[in-house]
Amino acid sequence: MLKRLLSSAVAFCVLTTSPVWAETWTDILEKAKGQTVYFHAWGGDENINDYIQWAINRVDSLYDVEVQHVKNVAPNAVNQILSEKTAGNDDDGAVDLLWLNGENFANMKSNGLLYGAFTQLLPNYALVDTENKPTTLFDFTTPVDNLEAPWGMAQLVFLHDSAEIAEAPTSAAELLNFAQNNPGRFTYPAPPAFHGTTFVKQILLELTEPSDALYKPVELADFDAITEPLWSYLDELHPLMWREGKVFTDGAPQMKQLLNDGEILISLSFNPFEASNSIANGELPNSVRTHIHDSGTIANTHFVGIPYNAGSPEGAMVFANFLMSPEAQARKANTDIWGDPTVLAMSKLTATDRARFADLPKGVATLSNEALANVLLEPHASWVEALEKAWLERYSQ
Amino acid sequence: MFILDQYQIHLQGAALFAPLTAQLSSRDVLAIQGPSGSGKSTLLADICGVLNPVFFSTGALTLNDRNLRDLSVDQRNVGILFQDDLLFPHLNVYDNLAFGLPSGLSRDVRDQRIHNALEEAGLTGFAPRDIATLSGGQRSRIALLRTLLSEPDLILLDEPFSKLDQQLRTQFRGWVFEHIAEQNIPSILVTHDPADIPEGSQRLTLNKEPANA
Amino acid sequence: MTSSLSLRRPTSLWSAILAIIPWLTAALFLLPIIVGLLGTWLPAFGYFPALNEHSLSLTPWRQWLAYPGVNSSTVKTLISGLGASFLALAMLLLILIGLYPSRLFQKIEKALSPVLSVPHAAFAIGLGFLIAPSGWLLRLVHEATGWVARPPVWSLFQDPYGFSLAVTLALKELPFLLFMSLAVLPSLKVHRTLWLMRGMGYSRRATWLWMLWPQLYRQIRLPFFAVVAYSLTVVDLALIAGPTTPPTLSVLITRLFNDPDLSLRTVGAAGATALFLGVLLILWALRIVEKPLAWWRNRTLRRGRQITRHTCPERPIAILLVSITGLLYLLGLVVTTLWSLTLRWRYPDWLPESTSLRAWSRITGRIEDPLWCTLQLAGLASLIAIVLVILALENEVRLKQMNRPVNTRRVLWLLYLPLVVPQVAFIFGFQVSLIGLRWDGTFPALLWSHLVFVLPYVFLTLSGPYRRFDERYAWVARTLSSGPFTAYWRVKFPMLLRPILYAVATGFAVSIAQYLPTLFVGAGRFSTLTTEAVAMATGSDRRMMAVMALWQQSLPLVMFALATLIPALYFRNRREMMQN
Repeated sequence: MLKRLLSSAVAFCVLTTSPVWAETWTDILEKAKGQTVYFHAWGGDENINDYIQWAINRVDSLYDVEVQHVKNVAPNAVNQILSEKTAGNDDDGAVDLLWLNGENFANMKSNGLLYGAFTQLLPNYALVDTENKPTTLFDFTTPVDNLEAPWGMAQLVFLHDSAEIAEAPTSAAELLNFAQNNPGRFTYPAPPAFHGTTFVKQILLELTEPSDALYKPVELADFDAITEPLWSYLDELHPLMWREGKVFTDGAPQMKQLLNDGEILISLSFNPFEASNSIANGELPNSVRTHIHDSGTIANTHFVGIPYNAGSPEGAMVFANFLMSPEAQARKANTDIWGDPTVLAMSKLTATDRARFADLPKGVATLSNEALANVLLEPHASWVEALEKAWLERYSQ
Repeated sequence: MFILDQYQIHLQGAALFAPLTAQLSSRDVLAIQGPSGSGKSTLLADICGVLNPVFFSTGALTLNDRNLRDLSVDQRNVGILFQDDLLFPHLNVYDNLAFGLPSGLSRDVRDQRIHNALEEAGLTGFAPRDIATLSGGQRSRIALLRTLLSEPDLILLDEPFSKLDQQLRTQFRGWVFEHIAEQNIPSILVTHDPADIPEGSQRLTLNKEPANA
Repeated sequence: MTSSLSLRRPTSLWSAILAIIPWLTAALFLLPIIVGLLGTWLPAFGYFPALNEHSLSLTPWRQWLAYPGVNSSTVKTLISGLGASFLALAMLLLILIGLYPSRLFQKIEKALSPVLSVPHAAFAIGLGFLIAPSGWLLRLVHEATGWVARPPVWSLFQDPYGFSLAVTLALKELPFLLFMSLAVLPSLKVHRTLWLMRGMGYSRRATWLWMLWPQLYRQIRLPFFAVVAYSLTVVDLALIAGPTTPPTLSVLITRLFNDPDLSLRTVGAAGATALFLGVLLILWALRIVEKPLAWWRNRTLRRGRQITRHTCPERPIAILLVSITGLLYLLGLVVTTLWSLTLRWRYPDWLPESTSLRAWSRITGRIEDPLWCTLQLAGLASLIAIVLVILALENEVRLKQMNRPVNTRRVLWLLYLPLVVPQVAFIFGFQVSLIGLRWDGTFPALLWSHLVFVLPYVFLTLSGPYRRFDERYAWVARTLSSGPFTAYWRVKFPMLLRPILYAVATGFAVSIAQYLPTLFVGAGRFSTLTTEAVAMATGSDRRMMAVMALWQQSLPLVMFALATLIPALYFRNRREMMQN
């Protein structure tokens, strides 16, 4: 199925990616000189902040582009852009580049809030592993169409405390079994929080066989019939969860704290290196390990995108290009720095650049590449809204 | 010379009291009596220049040939003493007294005048004291000194003795008029208590004006 | 005779300036709110050109009413918001009955400013560290008894009904109400009234309930209404201590405004408008219900003395209450400090397993810019606010001399609008209009938006003491041959120095706490201690969070300390200035 999606993706790209401007990279570099780029990116992790600061300094010295890190979450940045569109500021917006993916991307795309296809102009984009990492072309199944530049890879992984759990549950059924034996020691963030919705999708994918319908628009499927096993699963799981499923966490960061506190024994993350990173910086105990479900887990890519009204789009492109460079990607993949998997294809790199990735530390709690290779694709984007709505109607009354 | 001639205060077209006429030379004391609400305090407010604009007054109001109505509060040279001493609590005795002194004096002159004033009041050495550490009688004396040091041409006394106990009151009363007399200026005293009025004072009683006047 | 009639206006220009100040102030500060509200109301009725919605309709309202969990969210909002307000009011009354006036109460007064300077979110985070099932208190219990080796599964904090949110809010609002009462209490002549009424056979409690409290309430009604409105619409604190499925209305609305599905913005706008109307309705009801209550009280009082004498159990209860509140604030600070020094720390250890200064050194390395920006914003905002407020209050003095105090009061009422209107209901609309003017992301616009919130609090803090100033001091100064400005600077200003500095410190703290305006009006161009602290709070790293929270708390604390120390030092030999 992966192959099928892939081929259609390539065909799609060929059809849709024609450069919006007859600009060359040299023109862009020239225009970008002296521009100030406001990069809106979540600022809740000091390691990531430091990494972004490093990239900012590099781009300043390499290309004479000044980048400012605005510690802002994507929804607020989208609100800013939306307000600007309402007020008629269509050419000098406050956001030049933002960190986004999934639903935010899909909605910005469909509402015309993105700049246009630009990644094909970036030299480093050619190094991206679009062949083996289809999520760099399809963001939550929405075609990327060169509207955003891949920055890092993500995959849903579970974190458990191996001092408390001998064998981690590796399927939805085992997870339920675990909850029955350890009432109150598992939870997930409430949808529409990103990680929560992903968990619900993960369970749905595991419980739906065959899963073809999930990859088509939700309107074409019998939603009630397909999701029925999901709801009965959650109905059973919730009373066995943390706070009896009456209170939920607001995201993965809070879950990580609860794992450290011992209030819960299993947490989840979108970064396969998260456990190792957190052990290294003291946020989690040494006994924490990573596991995924046998069926595979949802994988996706996170990107940076340029709003339609960016004031310094060329500078933003130069920065986005640098973020995809082997130098920046290798540094990002280092668990001592950040620990975020690369979007690049090793085969496309020069020997020197490949060496940058060769002996990166992996961390004690990270799964092997082979184990992580077991990925599930996101269901069709239209399922997200439908699932969130149905979840809220059931569990948020 | 302070002159009131056919003087009246009006509120919404009605006069508060029958027209007043008085003439005060230096050392003269004018005692004003009248029931509460008859306009005694309003009269004092007008003379010192803080009359509430809802009132207005008619008739002559002059001090040393100057029409007081043409002058702002600080230009009038009219001192006032209330029943509360109203010493500034954030300043010590010296600074309170210095506040009344004309500006532009040299430091030596200032020190000298304040020293002399305190000495006369029997408060030598009190200059650096905190106001809050003084007794009621001491505070009253400082308040008068402060007013006198500002060299007023007329001094108004708004029931200045009513908060003092009987023994202190008699003592302080004598002391006040003695000092005012030394300055060679007239004074106006508003009081409820006839015993407060020094002998030889002019007297006026504020009476409600008959409605047809 | 008529020739001698002359109404003197020696300072007419000054009067004219003073006369326009309240109007100017009101206009300056109402404008953003009105524009902002319009910018929210239009989308609430379906008009949202940016999303190609050009026609007015009631669809957003229908969607809002049908949105999952709105009913139960409303109930939780009422439980937490009204619960917090009345709980705070009840605790205030209890403390006053039990402890005012007393030496202990004077000590409480002194401890009030550091407590007031703690930002809401920081307090809630500290409280969470303390009383969560894996919190510090249970760790201490474990340390002492060996019991609860694993964190229990109770809902001690963040319960599903909003009770813990109500208690957290009440504990945070109590010091504010207490502080606002301090300005009023002297004029109630409590000591004398208690004495008098005891002679007539009324107990302390009865005197407070029947005589003093109604007078006090009338005077702190406005701050109380601000508390009610705030408690019903708070976002940051509700995120930390509130229920989740569904959350309180303001959180639900914020979530709709932040949903990737942009069409939910109009639903959020309808919700924000509904919340705004709901708050107005509740305040109106609270105002109306005073009348029957007063009637009932008067009827009871007319029946004469049947209120029983009894001893006053309020005193020990009040002492307990004050101690617990104080202890929670203190322990919250202690545990936050511990976290800031932590490397690893797990349940059930009551002290960190290993400590490190890393969080401090990492944050301190890049704190300079946000610190400087925060200082500039808060400093300028509180200074401008104090000047405007003093001018407005001086205008009141002027009008009072002209027997026309009514107008100004009515205008100044409008100043309090920012306290009553939920931020979520107008900040987005305000942002749109600023962008339309291309003023967003500029420092003056950001300063302006801060002033909108700083000004009412400065006014609230200063107006009480300022109005109680005995104007005769100023007259005496003027009869001692000083001009109006000299009289002001040398007498009235220094005599009011303490409340003025206190109001400045309050304004400073309010400015520092602003998150949404800084982000939206500043267009992300300005990072302050608070935007940094919130950014950290969206992550998982408690050590960093703790460091940022401590930084964020330290500035207001320093300001309040200065506001206490400067007059104390300056007037150290002026006993009368040390009282009050």
